[in-house]
Amino acid sequence: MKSFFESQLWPLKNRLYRFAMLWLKDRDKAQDAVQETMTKGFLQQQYLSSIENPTGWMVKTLKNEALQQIREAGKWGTMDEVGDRAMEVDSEVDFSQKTKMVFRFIEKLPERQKEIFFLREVEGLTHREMAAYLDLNEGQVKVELHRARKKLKSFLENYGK
Amino acid sequence: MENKHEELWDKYWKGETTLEEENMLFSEVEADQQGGSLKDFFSGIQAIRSEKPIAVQLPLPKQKYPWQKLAAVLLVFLTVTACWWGYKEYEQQQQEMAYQQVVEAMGKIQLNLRKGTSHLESMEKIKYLNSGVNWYDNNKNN
Repeated sequence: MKSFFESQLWPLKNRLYRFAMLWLKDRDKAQDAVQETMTKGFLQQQYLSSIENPTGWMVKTLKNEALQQIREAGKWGTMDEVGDRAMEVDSEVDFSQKTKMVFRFIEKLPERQKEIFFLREVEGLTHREMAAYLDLNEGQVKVELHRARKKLKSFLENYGK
Repeated sequence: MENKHEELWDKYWKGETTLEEENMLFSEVEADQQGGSLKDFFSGIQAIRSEKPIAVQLPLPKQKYPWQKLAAVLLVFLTVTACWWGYKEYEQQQQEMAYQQVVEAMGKIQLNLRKGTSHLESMEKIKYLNSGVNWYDNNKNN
């Protein structure tokens, strides 16, 4: 029989990795952040098995790890400011132009919209799952997704002009 | 058909589409030969979706029987105890040796003190003469 960690937390690793990429724009740093988060999840698995939303806890831990890495890189700020201060998209040469285009758009979104948009478009989560990931209610998720897509429409209309 | 398509996109921009509807829209965009910014954007999303961590390692499980730690602690304890015991033994030996040396030294002092006393033995024979001097001193005082 699989342990709680194996069945509930371990399968999150790929999603968490891509989520870390959203903030860090660097594969190695994202890998480190996920590794740290997974280790913490493993050590806290008894506690996590008793709480309602272990996924939300993992995402928060990952965010803190990402923030820590950004701070260590000499870019101080709160998570709300990370969007402005996180690693520059253009500096990462190993991303394709199309990937950079996505990151460039996401960078322009406010923090909450950024996360919701990413979880929906990249991870394909339902409203309920996104709410669980981010510890929000479904109504908030729908409103923020609507706003983000409205901005996407405008971004795509003006792209390349 | 075209109307339904437009309707679906409207729904998408408002954030009201379901995941199935969105998948349908993305497939349409992918198949679109004309391309454009929308196609580029969703290709970028696809590229990000395929990103995976190279290797995330599972933390080592806790040892059920941490015998190595236990053995190390035991070894340190035994070493400390042996050192302490050895030191106590050494200290006791040192004390005994010091005592022996003192006893030997005292013996030599005693031997040396006895030296040269044999010729005083003859003095013992005329010791009685001192009583006459005492008698004289007593009468003089009276």
